[in-house]
This record gives sequence, structure tokens and C-alpha cells, in this order.
Amino acid sequence: MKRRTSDMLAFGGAAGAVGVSAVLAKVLCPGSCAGCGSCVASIAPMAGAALTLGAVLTGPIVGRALRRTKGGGL
Amino acid sequence: MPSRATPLTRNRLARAGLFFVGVALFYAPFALAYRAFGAIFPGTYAANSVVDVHTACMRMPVGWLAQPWMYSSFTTNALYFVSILVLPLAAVAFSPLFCGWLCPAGAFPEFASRLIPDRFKFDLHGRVPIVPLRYGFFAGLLLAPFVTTSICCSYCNFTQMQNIVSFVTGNTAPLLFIGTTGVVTMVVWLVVLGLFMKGGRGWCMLLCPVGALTSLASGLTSRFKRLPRVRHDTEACASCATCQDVCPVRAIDAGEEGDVRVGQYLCNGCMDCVKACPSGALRYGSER
Repeated sequence: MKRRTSDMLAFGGAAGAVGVSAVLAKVLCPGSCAGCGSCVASIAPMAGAALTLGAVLTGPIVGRALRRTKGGGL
Repeated sequence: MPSRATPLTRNRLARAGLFFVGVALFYAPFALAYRAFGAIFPGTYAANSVVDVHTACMRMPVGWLAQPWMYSSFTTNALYFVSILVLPLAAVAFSPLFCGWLCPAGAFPEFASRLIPDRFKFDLHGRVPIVPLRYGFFAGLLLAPFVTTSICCSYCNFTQMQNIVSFVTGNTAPLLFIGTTGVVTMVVWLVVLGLFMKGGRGWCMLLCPVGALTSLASGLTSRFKRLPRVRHDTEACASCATCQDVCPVRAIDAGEEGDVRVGQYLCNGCMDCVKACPSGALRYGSER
């Protein structure tokens, strides 16, 4: 994978992961507790971080698989 | 008897000393900087509130930059301008020295990680595109409040550092955080991205919005040759890659034949590389 492509994927993945986990926090919170929302909201960026780091760390494996199937990379 | 400590060791000792100065300046029960501000400006938030690291919350104001509806909050406490104005301007003028020299939340995991042998640590350098990830998270954190509530203090490593300082100084109340999601932050900040991360500053490199903003200010202005930054002299370089090895934020790429690049969007100005360089190829100053 070209460096520029992987950089863009990393940037978008990181921003997207935080965004997706923020949406999940919004959707999942039932709102029936005291209503501060901090419990879910505080997990959101952490979940995003874990998801993205996991994705990036496994990225080379996916990249290699793609190169094999496409015969030259993305 | 002359000192046998190397320049790198002396630099790290100086930074460790300033770690305690940072604790005394910003963290309760001391918080001397905020107490002084409150004494000079009576009637301000610093004079009339519980004085601890939250008195000049550095993280939330960075998020407010993308939230116009929060701008009125800036009028409630002048110290909110520290992270969005004072530190970025200081970084433009001198590079992000606050991060490398004074921020206890960054220094604590770094120095704690020196207790762990390197073979047990994960090195992000060369494996993970650190800069895109860092600014991707930064962008995400700026945008997250548009779809949910603002990300709360449990997420913040400054808060976790305050919990530690409070506990060490005899206040056991912060131990309650163990029963909250804050413990996730503590483990990620101190263990995963600290103790077991090469350099010990994984949180600074990836997740700290204050560090990202100040480094962005420093990096964008690093092309101005008169501004002091960590600079590299290719002709003097011995290509030993010592700088790359000692950098706590993994900001240096050391290639063949003196091809060393200092990542200005990551560098926190700690000067470890400058002091460790055996040939004097790295220095802090303006471009020659």
C-alpha cells in the first residue's frame, strides 16, 4: 500500500472511529438514568481508539492479502 | 570530582525535576500557578473555586474551538485560553516545550516506562502511521460533540494524573474512579500506551488534543527558518540512529547517510535527541 494511501486511511480511520463510537454512544444510551451521559460518552473515544489501533495493526495483513489478490496493491 | 552523567542523563534528570515543578504548579493540593492567578485577580474562577488541574481545563477548550455554541464559556474563566492560545503561541515561538518539559501527565508514564525493559515494549515507530493517527483522533475529538455530549473528564489523562497526585498526597477520595469508566483511561494511558510503549508517551503521540494542537502550531510554522526548532545537520551526521532510539515521541526517522528527519508535527522539544547525538548533528535553534 502506498504511504499516502495508508496515511489517509489512518487519518480517516481514527477520525471515523471516534465519530462512529460517538454515534453509538448517542444511540445506545437509554436516557433513563440520571442523564449525565458521561459513562457512555467516556467509553466512546476509548472504543474508537481501540478499534482504530486494532485496524491499523492488522492493516499490513489485510494489505498483503489485497496485494496477493490484486497483483500489485491498491 | 567531575560528573560522570552523560548529557542525555542530565537532560532527563532536568526534565524529571521539572515534572515535580509541573505537579506543584498545576495539580492539587498545590496548584501554585492557579492560586497565584487567583490571588492576583480576585473575583476570577481561580480565586473562587476548588483549585486543581481542572481550574484551567486544557482539554475542553480545545474541543470548544469546533463548537461555536460553547464560545460564551470562554468568558467565564480567562485560564481557558491557556490551551488554545498561550500554549500554541508558545509552541510557535519555541516549539512545544510545555509538552516535553512541564506536562506531568506526559512525563509520568514516560519516566515510569523506563522501569520496564525495552524488549517488553511495543514500538509504534515504523509500524504505525503516528502523525495521521494523531491528527485523525484530534479531528474526531473536535467533531464528536456534534453527535453526542462533550467527552467527559473520565476520558482525560490530566484528570487521571490529578487522581494519582491526590492519592499520593493523602486524599483517598479519587480512588472512587476505579469503579467508573475512568479506569479504562487510566489503564490505556498509563499501562498500554505508557509502561509498555517505547518512549512511554503513547497517549501524547496519539490521543492528547492539547499536544496535537500545540504540535500543529509548531509544525505548521517550522518552515520559518528563524524560529527555534530541533534542527538536523546532514553533513555532521554520523548516521548512528541514536536520536531515533532515544526520542520518547518517536518523532525521528533516521535513514542511511545522514538522512534524518525530525517530525515537527510530533516533536515535543524535550531535547533528548540533541543531548544524545554523539556528532552534534542535532541542535535546538534556528536554521543555519
